[in-house]
Amino acid sequence: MNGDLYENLRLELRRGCLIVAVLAQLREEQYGYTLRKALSDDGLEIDESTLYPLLRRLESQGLLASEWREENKRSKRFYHLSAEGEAILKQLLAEWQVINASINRMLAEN
Amino acid sequence: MELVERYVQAVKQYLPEGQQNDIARELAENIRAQMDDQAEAAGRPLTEAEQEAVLKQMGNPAVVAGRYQTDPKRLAFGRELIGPALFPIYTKILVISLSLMVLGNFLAAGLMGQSLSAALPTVVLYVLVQFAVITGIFIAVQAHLTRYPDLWDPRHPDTPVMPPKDERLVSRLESLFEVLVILAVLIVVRAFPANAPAVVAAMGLETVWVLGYWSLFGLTLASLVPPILTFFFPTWSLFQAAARVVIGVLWIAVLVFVILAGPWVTGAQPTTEVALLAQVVNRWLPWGLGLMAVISVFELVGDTRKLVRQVRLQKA
Repeated sequence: MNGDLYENLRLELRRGCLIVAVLAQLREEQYGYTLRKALSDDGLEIDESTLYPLLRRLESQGLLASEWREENKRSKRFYHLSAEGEAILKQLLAEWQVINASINRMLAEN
Repeated sequence: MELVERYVQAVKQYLPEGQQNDIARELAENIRAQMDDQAEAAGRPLTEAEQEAVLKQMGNPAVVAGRYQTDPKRLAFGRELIGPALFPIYTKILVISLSLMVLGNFLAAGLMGQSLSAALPTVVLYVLVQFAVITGIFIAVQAHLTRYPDLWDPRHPDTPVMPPKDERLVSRLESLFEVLVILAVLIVVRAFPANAPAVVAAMGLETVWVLGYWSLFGLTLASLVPPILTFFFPTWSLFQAAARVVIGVLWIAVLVFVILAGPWVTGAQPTTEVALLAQVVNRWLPWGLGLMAVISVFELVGDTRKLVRQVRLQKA
């Protein structure tokens, strides 16, 4: 029961963070698999079945743009941050800094 | 067909329409890129087992496709009964099958000279039964998917894999499903005489027909007892197997008795139409009942085998 509760809260916490991480990574153009690897290399593991649909959702919200292009004789769909995505990312990162600073302050006081 | 292609095809069937090809293409490319990467690291092409492991890691095709639903609709009462991956297929099948059934029944009623308003109560009943059965099947599939998301085979992603079963236990879901199916059959069988078209109602029924009808109806009613009991007492698997054999033997005996005791109907109001129908019924009924008896014999053989296995299991 306790484990389930922790898992639910952990997933909730991760959900928002993953969006920020994906947007931040896509300041440089990447396709699905390399993005997943880049996130993993930076210590953020994410399932393929979560990441790939998330990319489509962010694109449909106008935060990402994509195009099919050939690389190494393979056609791949490359994603990058759109202008709107860039503006939103900036706001989200500012919010992130505020939350992070607040929590750190609270932990230090206690 | 290669493993990746088979997997992507399995995902594709559950994807939202209009995006299927695009998502499937992208998914296939990402999986291939991952496999290429692993092959490069290993310095050799991936074995089939390694490719299967990559697909297994991707996840159950239905679950993966469900995450691509942009406007996920589901059937839920408190907990999710039919999830976003299955819901579009469920509604499609429901609409097609119910439309065909309604259309077919009204058409048949029209051909038999019955007014549409007279046929309506039967059609409504059939709609409810069909709705309940289709919904029940999808709820069962979803329950399986939710309980065993990793129970699928990357070599055959479309074929459901059943969990290892303790044969001494009867699944509650199986018992419930059996009860629902038998109830549906009983409702349809009971509704037919009351709502039969005028030409059918005009036929006189011989005693054997009435006797046979009520015996088979009684046996079907009796076959409700084992699944109801095993729903509450899932360990009564030996009782279930024995009851099925007994009911199966009685069922075949009644069928044979009815087949041998024809004719079954007469033209009680001897118009040409009724007499002709009575002739057709008397000619074809034994074939229909005979086919039913043959199927029942096969079922009985299967049930007897299960009973023998249950006896051995209980002794072990």
